[in-house]
Amino acid sequence: MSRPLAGPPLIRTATRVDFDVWSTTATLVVTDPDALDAALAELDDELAGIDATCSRFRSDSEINRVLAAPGRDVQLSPVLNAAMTAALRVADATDYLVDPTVAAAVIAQGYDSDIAAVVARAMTDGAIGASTSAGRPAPGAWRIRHDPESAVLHLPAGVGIDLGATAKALAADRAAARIASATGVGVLVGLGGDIAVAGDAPAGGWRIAIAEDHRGSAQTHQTVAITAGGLATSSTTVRRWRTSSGWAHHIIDPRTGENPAPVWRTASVAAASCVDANAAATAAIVLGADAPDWLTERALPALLIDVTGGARALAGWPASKAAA
Amino acid sequence: MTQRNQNKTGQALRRRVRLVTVGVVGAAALATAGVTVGLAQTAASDTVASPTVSSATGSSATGSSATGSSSTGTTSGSTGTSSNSGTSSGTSSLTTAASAPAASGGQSHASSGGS
Repeated sequence: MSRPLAGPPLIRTATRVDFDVWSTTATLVVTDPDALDAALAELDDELAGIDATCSRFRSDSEINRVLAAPGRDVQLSPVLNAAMTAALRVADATDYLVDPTVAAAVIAQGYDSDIAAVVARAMTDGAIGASTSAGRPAPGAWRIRHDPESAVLHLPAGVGIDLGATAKALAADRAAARIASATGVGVLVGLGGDIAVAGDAPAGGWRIAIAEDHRGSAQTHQTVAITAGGLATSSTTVRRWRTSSGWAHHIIDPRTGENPAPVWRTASVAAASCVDANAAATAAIVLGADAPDWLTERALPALLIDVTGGARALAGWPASKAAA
Repeated sequence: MTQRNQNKTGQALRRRVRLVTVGVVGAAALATAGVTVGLAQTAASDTVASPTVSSATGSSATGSSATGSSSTGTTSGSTGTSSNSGTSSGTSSLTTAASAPAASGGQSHASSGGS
């Protein structure tokens, strides 16, 4: 079967397959080996749909067509409508700490193409992107008019959109849900460390290693188990590149248009969905010192790793050895 | 004044009292109806506003209060394209997990880390 987005399997067992996609790694695990092929087909289809609608790195993507037509009502496809709904709900729920209108700031930092190309160019050119002090606040998602019922979006001129903060997690949620529905088995979908589970979990739950980088086990903080919802990690230690004024990374504070102050280097959060877990993890990095209170007030279990490697478990997250 | 004239005056007074009473009761009924209509209109406008909840109305960008009492995106941010303070209270919320993660061990099914 043709899998245009996905690379060849990195790992393939009876119940699991890992492969490269979007310059990161996808992991698919099912509780029944007989369901793996069907689950993989569903996952491929979901990834293709998200890529065709939400990627700002594809000139033919639907989001780029929308961005080319500001100032008027645009009818969205069901997938982009779902992505916009999720992005704007997250913006509202995080008090605009996770805001899709950071597109210009992200690009100004040098993140103007797929991350692999950005990193490669930075290594070749020595440094790319604007100075981190040249950031400008994001226009603000509150300026966007979107009616999810009619799937109509009105984007003001000068307001760019980057769905990167939510689209990957949304893809994980949607893929897990449709796989569980189609196959009737328990499933885990991981996209670059954004994990969604659906269906009946295996005995003891889905065991997830919490790490700085989802691809390696060089520094695994602990292993936790979940049975439903999602778990996501945001980190400043990956998707980094050198700019004219130092290292930059992919997490932008919409209030300043710059990378947030370095308080936490990694935040892992569990929530009812991968989208919500990912939003909270990113908001925690942006909030810095205020993140523990913010997460605790919202009863979102989290593990925060500060820039020195110190760990802090919050709101019911099990204490790790480092956090104990 | 004769007895007959006194009776006529009494009847006139009673008629006048009845008219005033009817008028007061009618005015009260009309006022109640007006309040009811007003409440209904308020409820209707709230209902209309609710589909835009997730899209965070643009009123906050101008610093004005949003439409209706259940306005969205009532960020305390400053005007225009400048930053918001991040201290506003949105109408959406992140949903907590049904249960917190449990400590575990052994071979993991997947890893969650930066990507």
